[in-house]
Amino acid sequence: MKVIYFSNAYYPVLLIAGAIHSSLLPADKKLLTASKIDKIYKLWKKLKEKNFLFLGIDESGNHVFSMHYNCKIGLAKRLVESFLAMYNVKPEEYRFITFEKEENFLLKLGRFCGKIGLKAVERGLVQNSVQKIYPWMVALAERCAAGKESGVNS
Amino acid sequence: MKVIYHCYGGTHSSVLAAASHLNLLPAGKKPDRKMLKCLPFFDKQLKKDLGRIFFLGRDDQGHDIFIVGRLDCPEVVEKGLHDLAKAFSIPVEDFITVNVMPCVSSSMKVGGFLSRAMGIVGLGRPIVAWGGINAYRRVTAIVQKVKEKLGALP
Repeated sequence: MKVIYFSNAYYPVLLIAGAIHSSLLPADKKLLTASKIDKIYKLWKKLKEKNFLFLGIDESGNHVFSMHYNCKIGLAKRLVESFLAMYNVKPEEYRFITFEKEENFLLKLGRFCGKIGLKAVERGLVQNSVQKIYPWMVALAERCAAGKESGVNS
Repeated sequence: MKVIYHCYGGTHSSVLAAASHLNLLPAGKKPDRKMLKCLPFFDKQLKKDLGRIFFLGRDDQGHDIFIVGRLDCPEVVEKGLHDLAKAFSIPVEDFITVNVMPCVSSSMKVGGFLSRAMGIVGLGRPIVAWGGINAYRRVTAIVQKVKEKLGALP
C-alpha cells in the first residue's frame, strides 16, 4: 500500500507525521532538541521545493510519500482519486491523508512575523509551536501506521 | 494516450478545448451559443466537482479526452499528476496535461464568476458563452498544437 500525506499549509505540519511514520523523524513524545527542530525545518524546506517526496517504507512495508501543493484539500483529494481511478488503481491500494487547519495560532503568527522581516521572532514561535505539536503528530503517525486513522476530513 | 485539459473551473475553456478536440464543435468557424449550451459540462460544474477528472470522449485517433478544474493551482495537475504517476508506476508518457487558461478572456472570467461562483446563471452564462465564442480561435490553436504533438508520437 502507498500512503500519501498531503498538506497545503505554509508550515506543513501534517508532513511531520509522514516523516515520523516513515521513521525519518523519531517517534519520541519528549521535548525536541534544537537539532531535531533544525531537521524539521530542513525537511519542510525540501518538501516545499520538491512538492512530492518519497519519505520511506514503514514497518509494514507501506511506501510513504509527502505531497505539498498550495491548493484546496478537497480538490487535491478528488484529483488524486480520479486520476488513480483512470488507471484502475483501487482505493484499497493507497491512503490519502490530510488534515484541515494544520497551522495553529503560533505558526500563523510566526508566518506573519516572517513576512514583515522578523525572522528571529518567526523562528522562536515556530520552534515553540513544533514542540507543542510534535507529540500529537507522533500519535497521529502511530494511528495512521496502524491503519486506524485516515486523517481525511475534507 | 490520455489528454487532460485543465482550467480554473473545468467548465468553460477546458470544455471548449475538449469539445473542439473531439470535433463536437466546428473547426473552421466560430460556434454559436446554442452549440455551446448543448456541450456536456459547459457551465454546469459545481464547486464539489473541482479536481475531479471527467471523461469527455475518445477522439478519432483513439486518444481519451478528459477535463478538470484546478482553481489557480496548475502545478497540482501539471507536476502533481506526473509525480503521482511515477509513485504508482504509471507510465508518464501515457498522458499529457494541457493548460487552457492562456486563451481565457476577461469576459469569460467575469461570466464564469457570475454563473458559477455567484450563482447568477441567467446573467453569467450568456456572457461566458459570448466570451467563449470570441476566444474559440485561441482555443482551437491550442488544440491544434496538441493534435500535432499527438500525431508526431510513435
